[in-house]
Amino acid sequence: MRWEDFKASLSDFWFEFRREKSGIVGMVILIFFIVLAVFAPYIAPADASAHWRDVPYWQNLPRAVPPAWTNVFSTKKKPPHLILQPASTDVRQMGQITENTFVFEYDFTYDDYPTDLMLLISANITDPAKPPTLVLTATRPDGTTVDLVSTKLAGSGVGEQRLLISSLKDFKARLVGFAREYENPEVASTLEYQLIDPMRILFSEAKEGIMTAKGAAPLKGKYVFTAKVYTFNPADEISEPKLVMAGKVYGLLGTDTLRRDLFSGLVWGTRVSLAVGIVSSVLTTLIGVIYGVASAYFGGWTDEAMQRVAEIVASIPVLPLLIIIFEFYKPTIWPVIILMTLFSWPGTNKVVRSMGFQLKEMQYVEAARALGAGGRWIILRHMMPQILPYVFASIALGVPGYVLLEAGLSFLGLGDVSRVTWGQILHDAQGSAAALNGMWWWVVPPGLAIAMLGLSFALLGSALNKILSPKMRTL
Amino acid sequence: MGYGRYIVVRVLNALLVLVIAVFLVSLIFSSVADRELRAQIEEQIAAQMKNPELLKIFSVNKTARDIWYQTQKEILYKRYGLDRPLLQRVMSRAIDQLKLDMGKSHTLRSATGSSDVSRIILEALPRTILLFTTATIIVTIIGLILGLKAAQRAGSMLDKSLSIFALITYSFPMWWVGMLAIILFSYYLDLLPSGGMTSIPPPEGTLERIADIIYHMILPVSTAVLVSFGGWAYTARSVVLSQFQEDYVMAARAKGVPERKVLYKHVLRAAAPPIVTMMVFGLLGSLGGAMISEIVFNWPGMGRLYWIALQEHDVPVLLGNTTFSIILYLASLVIMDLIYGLLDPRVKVGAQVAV
Amino acid sequence: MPLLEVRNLKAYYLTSRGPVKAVDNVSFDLERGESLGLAGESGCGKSTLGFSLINLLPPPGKIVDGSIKIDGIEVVGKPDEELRREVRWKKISMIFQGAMNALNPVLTIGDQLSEPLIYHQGVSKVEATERVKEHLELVGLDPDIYKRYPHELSGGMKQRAVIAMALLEHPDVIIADEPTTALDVIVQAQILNLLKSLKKKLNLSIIFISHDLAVISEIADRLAIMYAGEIVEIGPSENLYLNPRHPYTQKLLGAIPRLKKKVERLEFIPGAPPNLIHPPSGCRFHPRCPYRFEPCDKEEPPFIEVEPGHYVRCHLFAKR
Repeated sequence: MRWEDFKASLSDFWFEFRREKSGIVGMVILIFFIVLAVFAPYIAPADASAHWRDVPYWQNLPRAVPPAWTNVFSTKKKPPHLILQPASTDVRQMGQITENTFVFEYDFTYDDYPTDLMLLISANITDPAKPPTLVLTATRPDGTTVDLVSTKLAGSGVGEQRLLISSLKDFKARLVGFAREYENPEVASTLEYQLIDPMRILFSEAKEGIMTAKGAAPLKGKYVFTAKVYTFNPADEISEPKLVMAGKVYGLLGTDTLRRDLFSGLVWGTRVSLAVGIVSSVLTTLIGVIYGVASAYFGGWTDEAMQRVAEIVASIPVLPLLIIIFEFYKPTIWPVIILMTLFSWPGTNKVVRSMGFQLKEMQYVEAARALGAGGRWIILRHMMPQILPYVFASIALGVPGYVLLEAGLSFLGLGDVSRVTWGQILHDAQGSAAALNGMWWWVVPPGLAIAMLGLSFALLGSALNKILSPKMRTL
Repeated sequence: MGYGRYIVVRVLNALLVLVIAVFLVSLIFSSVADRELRAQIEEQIAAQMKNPELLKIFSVNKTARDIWYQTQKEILYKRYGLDRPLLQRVMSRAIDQLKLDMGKSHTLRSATGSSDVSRIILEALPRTILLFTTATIIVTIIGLILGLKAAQRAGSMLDKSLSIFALITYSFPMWWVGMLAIILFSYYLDLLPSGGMTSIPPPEGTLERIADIIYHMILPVSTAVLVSFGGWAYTARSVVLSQFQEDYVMAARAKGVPERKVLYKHVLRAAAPPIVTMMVFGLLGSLGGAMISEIVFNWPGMGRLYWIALQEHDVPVLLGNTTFSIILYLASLVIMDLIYGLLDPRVKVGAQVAV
Repeated sequence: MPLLEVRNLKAYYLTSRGPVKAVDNVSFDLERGESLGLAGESGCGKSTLGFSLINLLPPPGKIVDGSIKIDGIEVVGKPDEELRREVRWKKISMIFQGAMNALNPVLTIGDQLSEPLIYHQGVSKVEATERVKEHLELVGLDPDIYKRYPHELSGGMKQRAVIAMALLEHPDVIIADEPTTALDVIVQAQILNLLKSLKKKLNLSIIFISHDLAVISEIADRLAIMYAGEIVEIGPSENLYLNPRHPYTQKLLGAIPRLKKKVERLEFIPGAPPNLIHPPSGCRFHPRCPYRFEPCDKEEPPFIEVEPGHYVRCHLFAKR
C-alpha cells in the first residue's frame, strides 16, 4: 500500500469515525484515562504506588473518611484535613535546657470534630538517655486553657517523629478531667470510659453534655495550641514542627481504613489496568489471528488438529487455573498478562479461521495461487488486509474482558503486589467490610473506573466494527 | 451422526479436557510443592545433625558425615515420594484429584465437622449451583423476551437503549455491582440482608427456611441479572435480526404465514441454536463473576471457599476447589451442548442422506 | 382482461444516500397460461420487480407508485393483513432459490409445506399432510420426504420441494426467481423440464426471472429485457431471439455462446450497469451504447411497437 493511499484511507476512516457518536465518547473517556496513567506522578504523589502497602507512609492522613467535596452536599460541615505550621516560634536557653516554643492557631468553624491530633517534628537527639519532653496546652475560644499532654519524645536519632497525641492515655485522661467540671456528675459516672471521645471534649462548649455525643455542641472559634519542647543537651536540634488536625473529610476521594489516599491509588491503578487490558488484548488477538490464518491456510488435517487443540484450550476454565497459578507463583504484572493471553486466543482464532476459509475461496486468492504466489505472499498480501479491520475491532472489544479479569484476580487478593491496582483497592474494601459500613467512597470510584475503562474500549470497538466491517453497517 | 453419538462425543470431549486441566493443575502445583518439600527436608536433616553425639562422630570423620547426610536424604525423599520422576508424581496427584481424594483441610471444617476437602466442597457446590442456575434462568428469560422485542423493532428507542445498556453493563464487574447493591439496599435503605444464605439463627419449619433462603437470594440474584441480561438480550437480538434477513423468512411471509408465527415458529426456532452457542461463552464468563460475587454477598458457596482458602493459604482446599470448578464448568458446557443438539436438527437426526 | 396487469410500477430502496430506483416505470401484462421471461444483468432490478409483485420488498425497499392488478384485484396499497389472507400464495406464489435458504433449516419439509394450507385455508393437519404428499409426488419426490429436514436433501430435491410449495394453493401467477441458478447443469435441466411439464399439465402462468437467457429461452413464451430498472424490450421470445432490436438486447444475446452457430467471438458489453441513485439522463443505456446519437443523452426514449406485441425503448426506432 502506497503512502498516499494509506493517508487517503486514514482520512476516510476519520471522516466515518467522526459520525459515530459512541466511538467519540469512547475515545474521550480513553484519552482521559491515558492522561491519568501518563501523568500519574504529577497528578498524585510520585511515590504513592510504591508505598501503597507501606502503612507508616500514610499515617499522617485521617482514617476512613469521605472526600472533602461531600461537605458541599451536607448541612453539617465536617472539618477537613489540616496540617498547621507554627504561627510563631521561640527558643530560650536555660542552662543545659533549651525550651522551644511553637504556637499553632486553628480556626475551628465546623459542625463536627477532627478525628485525630498529631504532632510531626524533626528532632536531632545526641543522647538517647535524655529524650526531649513535650508539653502541649490548648487555649480555647472561651478562654479556658487545657493542658493536653506532657510526654517524652522518642529517644535517639535523627529524622521526623510522629506523635499521635489523640491516642495517648494522658491526653484522654486530662480532657476527661477537664470535662468533669462541667458535666452532670450523674451522667459522668454512668458513662463508659471507652466511649468518650477526647477530641469531642476539646472542641465542645464547656457546659453540661460535653461528655456525650448527643449533648456536646461544637465550640467554634480560634484555638491556640502551644507546644513546648524541652531538650537537655545544647547540641540537640528541634525543627519543622507541624500540628495535624486529622479531618473527617479528605481530598478528592477520601481515605481507607489504613489512612491511604484513595485518589492516589485510583490514579496509579490506571496504569496497571490500562497496560494489562491493552497488552493482553493485543497479544491474544495476535496469537488468535496467526493461529487462525495458519489453520485456514493449511486446511485439511492440519486445520483439523489445530482446531481440536484450540477447542480444548477454549474449554479450559481460565479463572480457577489462574487462581492456582497466582497463589503458587505470585507473579508480577508481565507474567500475569502472558498467563491471561495463554488461555484466551481460541475465540479470535475461530473467527479469523472462518474468514480465512472464505478468503481462500475468493477468486483473487485462487488467481494469485494460480500465478504461482507463495503461501506467505498470499497470507500477507491477500488475506491479512481483509482480516486487519476485524483485528482492530477485536482488540478493542477484548480489552474490557482483561480489565475485568485482572480486577477479579486482584479482588481475590492475587496479582502483582508491588503496585496498586483498582482490584486491590476493592479487595481491601471487601476485607474491611466497606460496603457493609456504607463507605461508598472506597467502593464506588475503583469499580466505576474499571467499568468506564471497559466501556471506553467497548464503545470504540463497536464503532470500529461498524465502520470497518461493511456487513454490520446495515444492522 | 445421531443425537446419541453426539452426546457421547461431547461427554468424552469434556472428560478429555477435564483430565488435561486437572493434569495442568497438578503440574503447576507439584513444581512449587516439591521445591518447598525439598527445603523442608534439608531443614529436617540439618536439625537432626545438631544431635551432639552425631556431631562428635562427624567432627572426626568427614566422610561419615557426607554418607549419613546422603542416606538420610534418600530415606526422606523416598518417604515423600520425591524419588519418583516428576511426571509420575504429577500423574498420581492428578488421579487423586479426579478420584475426589483431595486430602484434609488445614483450617476449614464442613458443617458436620469433617476436615475432608471433598466433603467441604460438596457442601458448597450445590449452593453455588442454586444461585447460578436461578440467575441464569431469569437472565435467559428476560434476555430472550427483550432481545426478540428489540429485533422486531430494530432501530426503535427500545432497541437503541438496549444496545447502550448492554454496552455499559458489558464492562461492569458483577461483584462490584454487588457491593454497590449492599451499600444501597442494606446500608442506606436497610431493605435486604447484606449477605449469608440464611438468617442467624435460621427460622423453624421447612417452608420458612425456603422463604428465608429466597429472601437472602434476592440481592445476589438481582445483581447477577442486572449485570448480565443486557448482554444476553443483545446477543439474542443480533441472532434474531440476522435470521430475519434469511430467505426463509421472506418465504414464510410470502406463503402468508402470520407475522406472529413467522417470529415464534420460524425465526425463534432457527435462532435458538446460534443463540445457545453464543451464550455458552457469556454463561461461562459469568460463572467466574458469580463465584467472585459470592464473596461480596458472603454466600457460602465455592467462590467464598476460594476467598477463605486464599486468606488461609489452605492449599488442599484450593486445589480441590479448582478441580470442582473445572468439573462444574465442563458440566455446564456439556449441558449447553446437549441443549444445542436438541435444537439443531443437523445434530438431532444426522447428516445428509442423499446428495 | 390480462391475468396480471402491471402499470407504471416504481419500487425504490430508500437509503440514506437517496432513493435507489431499482424498478422505474415498469408496465407489462401476463395472460393466463403464459410464461414471461424476465432477463437482465444482476443489479438491473429484476428480482426487485419479482418481490414487488408479491409486495414483499425487503426494507428499505418500497413500492412508491404504480399499480399491480392480479385477476382484476389491485394489490398496491392493500393492507398487509388482507394481502396475507387473500392474495399471497392464493393468487400469487413464488419459487425461491430453493438450494439457498428458502427453507428453514430447523423445520421439516412437511411442516413448512403445510403451513399455507393450515394458515390460509384452515385445513386440518392430517388433510394438509395428504395434500403436501400429493404435491411432493407431483414434483417427482418421494412423499416420505415429508418428515425430512432440509439439510438431509440435495440441492435438486430442495428445489423440487420449493416448487411443490409454490403450487400448493394453485395460484394464478407463479414467480420463479432464479430457480435453477445455484444448481449444477444436469439438475438445472431436470428442474427446467419439471417446470415445463408442470406448466403444460396445470396451465400455469409463470414469470421466470433469470440472468441466464439460455435458461429462459427454454420456458418463456414472451421475453422482457430489463436494464437499470426499466424494461427496454419486450415481445414474443421467438421475435426477440431472432430479431433483437434494442442495442442492449443485441449485446446480451451476443454474449451467449452457441453450439450450432459459429460465433466469431463472444461479445461483451463495455462498462458496468449504472448507479441507480443517479441514473444517466435520457436513455439509461447511452453511456454504453455503440449507436448513441444526438437525442440519447437528453430525451428519454419512447416505448415503440416495432412488430405486433414487440416493444422497444430506443431512439433508433422513433419516427422522426
